[in-house]
Amino acid sequence: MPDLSDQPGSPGPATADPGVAVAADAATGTPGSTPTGATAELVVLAQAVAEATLAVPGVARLEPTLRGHLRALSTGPMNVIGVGGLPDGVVLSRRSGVVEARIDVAVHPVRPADEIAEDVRTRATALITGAGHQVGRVAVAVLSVEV
Amino acid sequence: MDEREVSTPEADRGRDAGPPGPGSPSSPADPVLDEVTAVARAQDGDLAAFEALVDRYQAPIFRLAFRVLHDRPAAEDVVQETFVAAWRKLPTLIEPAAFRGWLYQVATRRSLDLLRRRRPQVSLDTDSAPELPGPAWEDPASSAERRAQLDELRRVLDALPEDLAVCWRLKELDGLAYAEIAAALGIPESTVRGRIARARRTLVERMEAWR
Amino acid sequence: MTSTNETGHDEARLGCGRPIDDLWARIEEPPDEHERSCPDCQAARASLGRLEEAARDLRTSDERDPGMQPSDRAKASIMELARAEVRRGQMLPLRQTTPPEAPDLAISEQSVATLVRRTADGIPGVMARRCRVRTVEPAHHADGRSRVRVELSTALSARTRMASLAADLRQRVRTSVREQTGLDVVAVDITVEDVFDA
Repeated sequence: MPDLSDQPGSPGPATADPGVAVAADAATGTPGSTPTGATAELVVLAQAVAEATLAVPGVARLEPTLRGHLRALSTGPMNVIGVGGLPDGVVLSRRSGVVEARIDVAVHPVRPADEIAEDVRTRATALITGAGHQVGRVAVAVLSVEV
Repeated sequence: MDEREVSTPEADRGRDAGPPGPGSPSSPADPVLDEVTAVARAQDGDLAAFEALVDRYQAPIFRLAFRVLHDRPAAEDVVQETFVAAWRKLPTLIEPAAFRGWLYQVATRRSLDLLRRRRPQVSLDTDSAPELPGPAWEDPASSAERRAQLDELRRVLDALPEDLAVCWRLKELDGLAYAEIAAALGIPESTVRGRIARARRTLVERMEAWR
Repeated sequence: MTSTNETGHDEARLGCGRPIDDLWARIEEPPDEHERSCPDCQAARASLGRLEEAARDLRTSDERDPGMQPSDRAKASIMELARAEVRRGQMLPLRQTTPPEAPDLAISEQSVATLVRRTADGIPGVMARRCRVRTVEPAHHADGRSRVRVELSTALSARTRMASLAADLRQRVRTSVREQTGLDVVAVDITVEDVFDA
């Protein structure tokens, strides 16, 4: 497991502040080793976002894209925690106290995909701010439109 | 969830259909057209089209690899590696009609590479191919004489020098063209023709000797 | 029947002078005039014919041999990998966002292309091939909806009426893309690469 050295609430320069990225889906159980404190909270939040995403009408499933997320995450040190088995569909990252999210989904077009994506973003944003965090970018990508 | 938008005979029922997709062997449509369509779509990343290509070619590719390696797990590895390579390289294939030849070449090279790595002391020019067990089911050859002829071919083929046997099998059993065999083995086409001619002559002589 | 050089083609000849390779090239056709009357050729044809027959039997036997098929495992892991590496290609913005170069809500070109192909395949006489979807300028309507252009290559049945089919195809593509994604298709470029049932 990576060294968990994040310190929530203390900004500092980007290079000296290794962020934390947590990848999770709703079905994951406990991670391989138990993260403590603020990072554990992020794990729980990521799982909550995953569950809420799956509950949005039209979402078929989360899509496996962890590797893509890791590349897309901001540069600089990042501690990555995969919960359960990779690959996963929700990635939360926290750096300098700001939580960002990247969610990849497959949809059933019971309504247009743009509405579904908008709903996912709205719910995820509400969960993050509801947990007391400052929210940054919440990106939703539709990777498959099923029959 | 699988996206099966490639036409199948079942899907065609009830509508005035175009030709069936590449997965239906009983289609009257030109199979080359269907395959070009499937390859073009697979180039675009269409998983269903790619799956249809896997369905069509995994068995012949397996047989090609098995004939070289005489080893099921190794042959399956070749199948897997070949199709994964195909998936990754498909977007760079300029001519969809060249897909089959390209696939067979990749499979042939991988099979031979694996063979060389497994038997480094044994050069491909020796006569030491392992004896293949006979089949345990009903052969298509109807008469006793044809069955015996088939068994004899298996026997003399096993005893053939490997460099001749590889070329002969690729031509006669796997259906590759001379140019494709040459490209797969990295040798001139004239060499391929010479080896196949020698293989045929040897096989005929040995089979006739039995007679 | 002994003279071959490694670099040239087979120079072996039968007693009558005919090259063996010529004989072999014609093995599945009826014997020509010379072959009909030449005992050397007849004997050689018979031998080569037996080899050819045995080779055919070997091919068929292998094809039917259940032990000469790959297991389901092979295909399963191939498809699993293909799915995991599915090429997202370009991402298309679903709604206008700021900053525009990093849309928060996006859809893969791949999924829209699959949708278009599925729609086109539903029209009798049409087989969709490659599909590209690109944003056009201006990228959004006033209400934020994205504007795209679809490029579709097809194979068509010769029995179709091209003009009405093209219009039908365009209409269906615009409708299904709008209904399923919210994207506005402003143009559908159709290329016919091939004709079947001709």
